[in-house]
Amino acid sequence: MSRTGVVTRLRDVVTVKTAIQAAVLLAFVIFPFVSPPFQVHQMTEVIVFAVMVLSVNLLTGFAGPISLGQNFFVAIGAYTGALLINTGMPFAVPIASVAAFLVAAVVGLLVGACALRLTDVYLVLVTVALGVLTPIVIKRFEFTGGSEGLPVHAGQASAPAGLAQDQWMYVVCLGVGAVVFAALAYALRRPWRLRLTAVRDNELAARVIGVNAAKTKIMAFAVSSGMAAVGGVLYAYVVGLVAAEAFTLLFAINLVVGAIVGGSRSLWGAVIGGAFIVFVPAWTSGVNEAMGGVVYGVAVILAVILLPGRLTDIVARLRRSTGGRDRLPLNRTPSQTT
Amino acid sequence: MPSSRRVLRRAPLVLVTIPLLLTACGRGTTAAGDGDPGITDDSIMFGTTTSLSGPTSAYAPLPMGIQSCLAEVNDKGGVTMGDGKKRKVEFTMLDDAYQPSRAVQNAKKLVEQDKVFGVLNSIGTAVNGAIYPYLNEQKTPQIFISSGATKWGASPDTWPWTIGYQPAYATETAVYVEHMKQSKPGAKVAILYQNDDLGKDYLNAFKKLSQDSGLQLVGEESYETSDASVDSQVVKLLQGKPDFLLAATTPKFGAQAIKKKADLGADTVIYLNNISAGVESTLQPAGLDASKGVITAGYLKDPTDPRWSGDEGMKHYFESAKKYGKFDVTSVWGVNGYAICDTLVKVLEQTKSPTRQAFMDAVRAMDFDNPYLAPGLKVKTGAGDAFPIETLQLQEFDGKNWRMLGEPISYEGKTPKLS
Repeated sequence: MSRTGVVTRLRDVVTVKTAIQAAVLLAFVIFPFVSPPFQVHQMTEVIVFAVMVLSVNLLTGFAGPISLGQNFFVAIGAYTGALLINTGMPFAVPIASVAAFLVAAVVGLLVGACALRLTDVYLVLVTVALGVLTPIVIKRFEFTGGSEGLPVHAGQASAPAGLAQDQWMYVVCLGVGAVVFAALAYALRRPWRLRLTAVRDNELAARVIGVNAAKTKIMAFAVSSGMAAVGGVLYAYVVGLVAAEAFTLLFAINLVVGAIVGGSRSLWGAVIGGAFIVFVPAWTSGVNEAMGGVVYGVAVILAVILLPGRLTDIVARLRRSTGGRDRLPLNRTPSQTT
Repeated sequence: MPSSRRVLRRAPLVLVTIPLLLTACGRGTTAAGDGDPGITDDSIMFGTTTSLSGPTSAYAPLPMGIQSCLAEVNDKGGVTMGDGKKRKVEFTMLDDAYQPSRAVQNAKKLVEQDKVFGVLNSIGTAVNGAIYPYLNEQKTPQIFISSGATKWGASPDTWPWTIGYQPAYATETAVYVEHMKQSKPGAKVAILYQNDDLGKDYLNAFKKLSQDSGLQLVGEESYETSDASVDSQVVKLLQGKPDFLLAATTPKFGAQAIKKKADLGADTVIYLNNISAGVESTLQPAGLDASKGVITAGYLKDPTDPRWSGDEGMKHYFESAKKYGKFDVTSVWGVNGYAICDTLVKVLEQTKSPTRQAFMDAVRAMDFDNPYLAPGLKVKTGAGDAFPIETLQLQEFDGKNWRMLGEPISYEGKTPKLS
């Protein structure tokens, strides 16, 4: 290959987009080693919630159905994680993540097969029922620790030498989170992504051209459930206690808020959504002790009104306006995309 | 997407570099400075993670009561501690909306960033359950928790930095069992309970304590907080014609139970648990006439009760809370906050040196009166006794106010045996 050929090839690979993504990824890797423990913990929670928001993005952003029952699947993961981590087995978190993914995906398959026969508002109602029932069901069982909750012994000695506990937790969560993100990015290649989009935009038309809409939606629901459960495993690991009160309907609503704010049709949007869930309530309660809830509500409303195109869209627009040579979708002209 | 896939293909490579970075940038443990964090010669700092919003925000007057009371203490110059130095008491409140994940975040912020001396009064079993391993590991006092679970005082050797405040639900149940036994030996008792740790603590304690008491459990029914009403449960329970009905409920459901019982014309006596015993929150909605004869056991002075209008402690509470506070002063949780603040100040006065250890030593050896607790009640701990309040005052509702019933019943030092 000639010298100019190599340069062209490099220019082709290193677009503004990839450069930014690489920088963000690098920042994520370096972060725990240059930050105080408290901030490392916060960022770990961001990763945990990002995985959960990503599961909402897959279901709502890419496939279409809105679910307010995601707390149910997060809880499945959290209890699977808590029980497995408490056995003290090695590699408990990755093993629990796989186990929780499978369990929740199967449950999601069953729930999805029933619920997805319904459309629109009826489907939402079914998922709301699921969301409301979750804490009640958890309290009924003994193995869940009832409503006192189940402590998770992450094991103080689990961190390898030279690493503090918070750094190790961060690394583990980043690792599991990266696998989930990469797996979804891989799965969202052409055929499946197009099928999902077709079903989301016009189910009838999709069926006419031969897409099995029911199967596509149910698969998305199952995978999304599994991903939420992986988030639940990480939650149990990081928070150190799984309790019924944690997994209320409000939890699911917060995930949807995170998805909308971050941009529900984007992978990186999930990270922004996770950051929103972790940082904004903490910030708003600092503004006024008595009015934290109100300020948070206003912040959500403002975020939705002022950023109707979602945060990730803003980034995309900025990039285009600054002349970034990002590839545009083949069948669209620049004017159509803005 | 193609370009991001390229990055993702590279991701493993980036992640492999982690071990390299570990050795390069490993933080290591920071050496502790001299003296404990959060205390100087003229100030001591406490923080809390608490319910300022969310499903349990009704308890918000509690931390706000503490804040208001400490504002007054500081206004008067601070507390002269056991080492002879006068310190102002700072108090930081962080909201967790009753979410364990936010509570953990807050606890870490308080300890690592704000560098507080101790965490004071966090609300709820789940929230405290999420943060107490961390706080004990950090050797940070976690004092006067608002939760009636017995676990906060059950093993002070394992969790030396944690302690509760209010009487355990089991202690309260013991008081009811004692009274039932005395007023009608061999009585038939039914229990209505909320299906969570709150309700089950009462149920389990009752079953244990009534074993050799001659009392007969003739029915138990549970409900969920999401239920619309407990009418059907009450009807079912009253079919067994119990002499007593123990209602281990929260206010809304306590009111329904009282009303339904009155509608059915049963002569069963209701024992209503302490947290539901507010006149405005429970008895008025149930009907004051219908509530006549209801029995409860309390430990705080109720700010809506005219009985305390001449009481020195409560007079001071109203003055101070109106001047320094930003909460509804008629809330009993505000009084709870003042009671905790009063105990904290007394502990600080007994703290011999400016260390967390000395502070906890004082917490473990309390013997204080408290102007906000019912007369005759003490805040007392000691060797083998990690429960500050273990005495309750029985009261009966006379259609207008709570009327004291006999002397306070004390289980001082006996709580662990009750549950």
